[in-house]
Amino acid sequence: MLCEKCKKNSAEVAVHEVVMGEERELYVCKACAGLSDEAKLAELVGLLFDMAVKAESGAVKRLGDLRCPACGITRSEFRKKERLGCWKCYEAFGVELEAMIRDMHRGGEHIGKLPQRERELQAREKLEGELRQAVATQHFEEAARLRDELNCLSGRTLNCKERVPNVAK
Amino acid sequence: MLQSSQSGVAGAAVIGGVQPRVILSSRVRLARNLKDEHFPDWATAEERKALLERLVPQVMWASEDAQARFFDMSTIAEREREVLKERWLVSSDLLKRSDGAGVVVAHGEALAVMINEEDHVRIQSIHQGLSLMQCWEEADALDTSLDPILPYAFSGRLGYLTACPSNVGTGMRASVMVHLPGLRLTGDIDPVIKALERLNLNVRGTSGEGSMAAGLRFQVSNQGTLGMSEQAVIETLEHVARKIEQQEIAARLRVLRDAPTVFEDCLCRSLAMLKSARLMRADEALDYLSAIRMGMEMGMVRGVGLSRLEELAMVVLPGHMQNFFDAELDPDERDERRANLLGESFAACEIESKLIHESALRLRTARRQ
Ligand SMILES: [Zn+2]
Ligand SMILES: [Zn+2]
Repeated sequence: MLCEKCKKNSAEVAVHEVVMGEERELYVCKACAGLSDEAKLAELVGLLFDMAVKAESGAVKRLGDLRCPACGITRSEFRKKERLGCWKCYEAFGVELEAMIRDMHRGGEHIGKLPQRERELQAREKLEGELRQAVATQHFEEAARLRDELNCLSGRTLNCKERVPNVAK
Repeated sequence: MLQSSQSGVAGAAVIGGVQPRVILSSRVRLARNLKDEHFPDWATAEERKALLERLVPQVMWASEDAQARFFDMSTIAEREREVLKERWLVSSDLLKRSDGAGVVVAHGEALAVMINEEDHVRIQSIHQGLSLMQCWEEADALDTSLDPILPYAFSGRLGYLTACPSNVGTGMRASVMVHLPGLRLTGDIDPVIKALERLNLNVRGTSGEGSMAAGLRFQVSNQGTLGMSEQAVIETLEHVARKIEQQEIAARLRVLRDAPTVFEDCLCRSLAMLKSARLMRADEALDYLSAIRMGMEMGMVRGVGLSRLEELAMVVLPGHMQNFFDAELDPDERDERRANLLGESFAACEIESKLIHESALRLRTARRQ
């Protein structure tokens, strides 16, 4: 008969497993009898981690069992649970994570939705850059408009609503 | 590998079959976390409970649904937990977390927000058929409402920061559930899965647990979350889903045309089991229902409707079975009642054997012309 898990290979062994909340005896192929998904994932994460450590061995050796200053979890704890402790862990374990992230994703930088605060921050930085440029090149009318827009972003001008369409232009 | 989609469409016209629904449902999940809070796996039970208490009213408000319901994993009955999972409203991971974890369900069951699963917040939107853009828009809208009141953990370079580095960036998993009994009959499931994996897509069998492809339903989702916008991921997946659909339809027609007896045998065996078995497991039942569904979508099954079939595919699951009979049933009792229920439901069902062979003939004739 066919393996009850992958339904591709022929079944060779019986295993006991919880299927849809019920314990069952399943006849499966050798591959499916081997590792559960979770075990496979654990193995992969461990492997990526080892690769990262090897690649950056100099840096990592010096760091020893690094600890995130914000949440207190150590690198080996992270490795064991495969879950980070807090958002600051991304800075604390930067070196290892860098390599893991490179292997897990196609791109290295975020493209997509931004939180509102971040969007405003980026809009502000862009306007500030343009303002500096306008002043440097003595385009003062343009500079005044950009300054108003910046004021508008920080809510310092009262008649903002009338000026908002300018932002879209 | 298979014939082109054109011949699939033409073939469907030749036999006058209904349009098969290969893409059963679409889903978008967004992972979000808060700054200055331990991620759930490292938080204490007290921290999780405090955060849950804080988040529930915020999520209820943001859902914009006065009928939104909250299920607390620490107080919910065992049977109800199963039902939530079988309806894809919670993950098995959430069910393992009893203290300080729960789910808010809104807009029927289209929206579900898990709190303190692997990440602090996991927004999920599900719709029938190929509707990824709608799912994204609804999940996105809820996220946008939560954004000003929740200090999200975010980095300019890595995007939304998640408990597992595999979700950083958009934090988005988009997936479609596809039903592939035809590709199973032609033996093409493997090459299709390999092709999808080369496209950086993840393919899993769907069932309550693990990676079994119960009922030949597969979940196809994006692999990476960093370096590609939400829209780009969704467009790719939508495109791929349509291709899978074409291949599946082509495969069904090819089996019907070239091996009508194989097709007929698959339907007749499945129906015989549904009609006559005295004990039946849930995963087994899903496999037989899958075959009947394929036959029905090709116009080759009489006596039972598609909506009844879809209902049964839900009722046979362990949690739903116990709700249906309103009793705590052990697995053996469930197998017996399940078999009886299916026996009654399919008593009047028949396979259109004559039509199968006539259609095969018409398909072969159409091909020669
Ligand atoms: Zn197998
Ligand atoms: Zn940390």
